Amino acid sequence: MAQDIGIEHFIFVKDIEFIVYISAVISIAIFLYGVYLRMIKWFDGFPSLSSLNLDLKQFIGGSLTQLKVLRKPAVGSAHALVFYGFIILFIGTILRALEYDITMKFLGTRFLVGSNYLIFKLFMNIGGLIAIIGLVALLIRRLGFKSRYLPDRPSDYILIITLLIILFTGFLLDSIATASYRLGWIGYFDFIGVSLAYILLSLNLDLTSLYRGLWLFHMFISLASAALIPYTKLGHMVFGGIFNYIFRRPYHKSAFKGYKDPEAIVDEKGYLGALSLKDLSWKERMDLDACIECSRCTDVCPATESGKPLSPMHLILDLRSVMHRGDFEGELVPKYIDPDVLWSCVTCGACVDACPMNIHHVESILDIRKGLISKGEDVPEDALNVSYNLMRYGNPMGYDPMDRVKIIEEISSESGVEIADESREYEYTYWIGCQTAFDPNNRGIAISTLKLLRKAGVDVAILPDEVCCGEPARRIGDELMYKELVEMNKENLMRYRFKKLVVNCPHGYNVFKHEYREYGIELDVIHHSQLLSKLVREGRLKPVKSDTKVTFHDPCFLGRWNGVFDDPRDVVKSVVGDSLIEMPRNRENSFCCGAGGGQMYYEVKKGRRISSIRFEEAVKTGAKVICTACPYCKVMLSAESKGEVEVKDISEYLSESIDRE
Amino acid sequence: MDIGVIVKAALDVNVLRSEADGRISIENIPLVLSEYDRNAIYEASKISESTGGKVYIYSLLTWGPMDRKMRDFENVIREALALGGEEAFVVADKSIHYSEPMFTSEVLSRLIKKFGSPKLILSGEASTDMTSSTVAPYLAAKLNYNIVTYVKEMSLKNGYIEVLRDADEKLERLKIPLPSVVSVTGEINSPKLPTLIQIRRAFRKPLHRLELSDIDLSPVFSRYEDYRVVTIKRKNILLEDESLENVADKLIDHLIQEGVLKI
Repeated sequence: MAQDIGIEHFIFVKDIEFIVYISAVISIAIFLYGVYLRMIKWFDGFPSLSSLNLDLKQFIGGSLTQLKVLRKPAVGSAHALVFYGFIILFIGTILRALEYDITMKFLGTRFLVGSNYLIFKLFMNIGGLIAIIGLVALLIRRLGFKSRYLPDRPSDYILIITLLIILFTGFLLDSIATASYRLGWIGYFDFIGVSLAYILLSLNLDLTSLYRGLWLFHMFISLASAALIPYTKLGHMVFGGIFNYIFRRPYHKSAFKGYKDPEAIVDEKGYLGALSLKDLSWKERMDLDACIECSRCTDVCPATESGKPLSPMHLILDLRSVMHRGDFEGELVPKYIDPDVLWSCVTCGACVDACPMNIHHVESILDIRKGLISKGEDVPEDALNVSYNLMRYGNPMGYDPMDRVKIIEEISSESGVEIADESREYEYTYWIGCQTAFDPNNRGIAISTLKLLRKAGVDVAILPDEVCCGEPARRIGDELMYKELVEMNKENLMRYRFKKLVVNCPHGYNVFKHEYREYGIELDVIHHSQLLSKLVREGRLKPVKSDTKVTFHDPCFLGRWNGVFDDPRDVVKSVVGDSLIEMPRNRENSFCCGAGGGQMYYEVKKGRRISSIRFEEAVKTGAKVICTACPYCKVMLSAESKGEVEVKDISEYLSESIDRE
Repeated sequence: MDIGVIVKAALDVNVLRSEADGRISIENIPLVLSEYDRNAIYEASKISESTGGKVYIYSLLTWGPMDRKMRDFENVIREALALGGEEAFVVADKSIHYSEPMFTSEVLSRLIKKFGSPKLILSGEASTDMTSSTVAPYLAAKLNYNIVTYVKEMSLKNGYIEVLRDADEKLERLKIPLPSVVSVTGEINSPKLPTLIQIRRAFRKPLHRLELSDIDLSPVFSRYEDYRVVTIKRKNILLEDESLENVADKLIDHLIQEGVLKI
């Protein structure tokens, strides 16, 4: 009996089985041609995989596990059911073909027999069923629970319905086969096939003809859908789910493309960054085809929410349409993209973090900004001012650099922390940064931090002089200025001996940690929240407890980009314990203060202020104090407060509680 | 038509530094492109875009010492070239530091005559550090060109220019035949600040550095000896009262006491 349990291949259609082979070959050819058509656009005719990084871990961890998609649990689960359902069906179909076309024909043996077959059948049933459940859920979601910016076109419905038809006809075919030869022994292993078989038998139909007709239909629609994958939204499976996960940008997610010798490029080409599509990297062009139009990026974008012209998804789609049109040479701005779209970006990375297709919107935005800065056109005047101030004064605000030396001396005398001496080695050097030094309301951050470090007995010094770390230059796209500042800082930092650089500004922290490497400078960088939380943990700082209600605002470049969520919270909790209230959007879902991407210094005056949206959210928690760990965030949120809430850096808050003892 | 622009590497008044006795420590103050010169260059490049012709930059280093100022001076000229100048002729000679407007205009007039001799010369209405507004008129006299100052609108016609001149109490619309020197105000246009990349690109443009002997001039001139800041002491009086009217009354009393107001 056991030997008889197996598939009767091509039952009822033995005479026309050749059609499936011909169709499959055509389908695969159309599919591959579609992939080829896309690829030649990414490579602009010249395939080059020079800047590629293979990352199977990312592919398995992010794509195969569906973890990124599941960040939105409801719709993510529906998608995962469809994904896993079709993967099971796909593997099952391959196994069937393997048995019939390889092992039976060449080895004379079968492997889908006995218990193997029963398990196979059960899996195929489950695969089909969960895919149907997922698709129905996706349909219901489209009909009633769409997110705000989700595109909604007839083709989106046609896609879901086509997939449902494939699955239903598959089950019908299966049930006719079941009725004809396996109803006696298959049992629950083919629970759907068996149930449908009983219904079909009761209808007294000509099952053979029905099977032959359905078989042709099912085969054609399945193979046609497979062939059309690269030409439709389904292309995201290949371009996004596979390619964009396997091939990774070769640097940290918050480090942006650098140049070995930018001056040489300027001398040769006359500009840096991207003026047209051909200036983007192939990975950036692949990003454009990877987009599945799920709008997750736009749904979380602070620029979009505040009414500015940027929507990350639409930017990607606009660039994609330029690519599909084949205009690689044409300048993107202002013909295809409004400059305000690019300048609206706060580089908070919410889009990048949300994207299930691993698209790096911010990299492309910054590349196009570099192009605009190179031309000096379509750049906000205040952004040009930043560049000019950096060039002239070494800080983005245009303060007299001599004042900085005086301020540093004041900070040193007030905190009791010495100014670094070249002949001594220190455990830590503390980087004050422009925003903290020049803004009198932020200077307290440096003084508090340094006092705390001194109190805890940390061996720390400050530098006698600093220039801008280069972050504002990099975010507005002035790469040449950035490189010049990096070199000035390299010279300055190398003059002193220290093990770690402590930085209180997450923007400085990020450039020093990830972006200085591109110009050959490796620094051991630590954010002040990390050091302070360590000191509290070790009992070297003992805050006096308080029950003030405090909320914490995650700075984007500390939290989302660099994954430092707990350290600043631990510092606040060391004072207020459970009185730390979270805002609805926190940790990786935090919402920008509005100052990133250079927007501390310029503003796209459209819609609401991003800072006011975030401030309202913070006030609604009922907190009396908003703590943050970034001087930019502090400036932005303080500016919104009319005194109802205090805005403080975690170091200031911790320092006050220690002074109370 | 070729156009010349005279530019100045002026002391950056945003970072003015002085000694305890009020003497300005010129050696420690960086140089920047004088503000209205930016407008002049931008206007010249706009005109030359529509009419063709070259934009020449003429300048001389008036501040010393040479070793502290030469780099700044070169940066200023590069910036002028990045803004639209195409070729620069500059005199950097330590014997002419701290020269006053009469000699400055002599140097410029010789530069202009020797190199390019454009028939239209633009300049900013005044330098941001010295604000004498005299170099352009002196230069016109030495070149034997017409002069029109404080121009806030201009257009080049066939053989003459049409300008709108801001004469404080009135606006004058004038036609000035060429050759002519024109000083422009900050209102004439809104030039953009150049980025480092644009300045870098301007490195390809020719910059000719000359000495006084190259223009057959000897360093005989009167020069400034001393620069001092005039310190104004503010009284820092804060007037407070219940109503705005009362505050206004108090203010009037103060002004009468100070002799500013007479009733």
